[in-house]
Amino acid sequence: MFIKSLHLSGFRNYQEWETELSPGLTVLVGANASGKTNALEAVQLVTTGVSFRNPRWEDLVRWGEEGAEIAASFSSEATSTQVQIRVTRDGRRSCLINGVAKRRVSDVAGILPTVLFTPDDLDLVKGPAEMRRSAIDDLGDQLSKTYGSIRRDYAKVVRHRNTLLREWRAGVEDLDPWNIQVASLGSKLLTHRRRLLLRVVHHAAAAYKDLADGEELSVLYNDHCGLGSIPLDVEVTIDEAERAIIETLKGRAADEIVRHVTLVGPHRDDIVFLLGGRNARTFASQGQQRTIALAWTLAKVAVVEDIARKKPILLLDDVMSELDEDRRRALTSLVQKDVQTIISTTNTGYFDTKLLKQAVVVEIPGK
Amino acid sequence: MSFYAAPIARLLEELERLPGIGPKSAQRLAFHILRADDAAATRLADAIVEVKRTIHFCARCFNLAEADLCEVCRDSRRDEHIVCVVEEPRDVVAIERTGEFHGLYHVLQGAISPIDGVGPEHLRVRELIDRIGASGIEELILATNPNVEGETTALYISRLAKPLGVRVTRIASGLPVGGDLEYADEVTLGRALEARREM
Repeated sequence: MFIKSLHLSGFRNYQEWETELSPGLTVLVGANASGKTNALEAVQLVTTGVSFRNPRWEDLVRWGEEGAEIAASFSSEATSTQVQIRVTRDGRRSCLINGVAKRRVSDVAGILPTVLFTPDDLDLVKGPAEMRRSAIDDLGDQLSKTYGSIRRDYAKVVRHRNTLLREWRAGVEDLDPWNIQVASLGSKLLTHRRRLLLRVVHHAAAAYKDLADGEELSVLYNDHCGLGSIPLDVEVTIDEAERAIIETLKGRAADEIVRHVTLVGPHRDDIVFLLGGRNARTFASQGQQRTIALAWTLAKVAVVEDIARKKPILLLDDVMSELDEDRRRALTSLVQKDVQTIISTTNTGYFDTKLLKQAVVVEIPGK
Repeated sequence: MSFYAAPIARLLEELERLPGIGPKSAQRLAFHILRADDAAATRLADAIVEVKRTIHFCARCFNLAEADLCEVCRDSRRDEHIVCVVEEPRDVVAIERTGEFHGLYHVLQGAISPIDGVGPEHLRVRELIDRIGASGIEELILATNPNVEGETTALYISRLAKPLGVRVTRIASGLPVGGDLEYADEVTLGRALEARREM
């Protein structure tokens, strides 16, 4: 399945814009601030119901318009599907699939998965731990509603518990039911996350090997749940994780009361990339770190395909200028594997002429 | 800093205090009231005053009541050994509608939610524990909502109640009866699988 056409009206800087997309490679060319990223954001919204920019919904509506609409037409051998997402001036949104109103915008998820790669993602290795946690949790969110709901409930429990610690100066007795919740939801998040991470790492290591010879890429899951450093390929059971979290919470209770924050649980965990067994954050060159980020993205495509049994759309936002020729070729090579790829760029000079000939090139007019 | 005449500004201010009402909704409601005829406005005002004057909370279970005790608590055919603990009076209505429950209720009037500034001391938890001590309650059915706050409230109460020697149960959450598996979302289905039982 692929997106055949995209129609934007009143969305961001677009008044009215329609384009056909190639089932292979589509290149969106335009100057800076012409709306290339907006177009990719629209594709992400219409396939996942969320945007990587986390905007307020009303901000999606073009200045002076009553509302915005993103309409996409999906096509496969047998079927065609129309999806419309509408947002009003005051941020109310609705979603229609084949003309039938759905309850939530997130109901679009599942028609066609999406993998997005932006210049920010190049900081995967050296950025804050939160970025790596989101990188894996966002993927889980897209692949399983259970993963998403556990993640959201767990985040809420931590927020409640932090409020207790910070504003209520809560004692051990008040924290007790929240500890059970941290352990029960945290253990599920931890095991789901580790399991998904293992799959991504497996593909990422292979992709890294293709991109750069030499040292082997591996990943260490550094948990704050009290399990110690258990290698990723050793399965941690939910019960085991739950007991570890409860015990560790008990041990750190005094510390938490002094520091007013929840110190135990998967919201504090980190994912450490290793090259040849050494921490890539400190030992790898910038080029190697970028190659890891790229390998991670290619791995996501493979994992989505494994789990959702559909080839995802690959959205690449202005990353061509950030990569050298070999790495650009690695990214665009997915087109040959029937992955629909949409790339935004300021300059078509980054592309192989042969590849460009088969691609649909769309000029973004700007304002 | 209001551009409205004082009486309208006052009405807007009062409406905005209501849950789920923002400035825009408050304006819509206020202008609806302004446009309505006098009788309609008086009916609304009377209804508000009347409900505050006549309805209060049941002295035993904190359900809505017109008398000292609510209708359920006054009904001598109800089983006094089982108490179903819910968050809001509307949950009593929902359970009553099933016709399956013949015990009494206890309405907590909310759920523990530190973010919203609600702790156990703001709920009718103390009163529930006192009820267990004072009467022959044998079982508490915790029917708080199946979300983070409701679960935590259930955990909190079970910790307090169990040492008092009552049986504490939690309602199962999962598939609605008569619902098709196909239409249940994955999360509900996941919970239902987790809470499966031997047949």
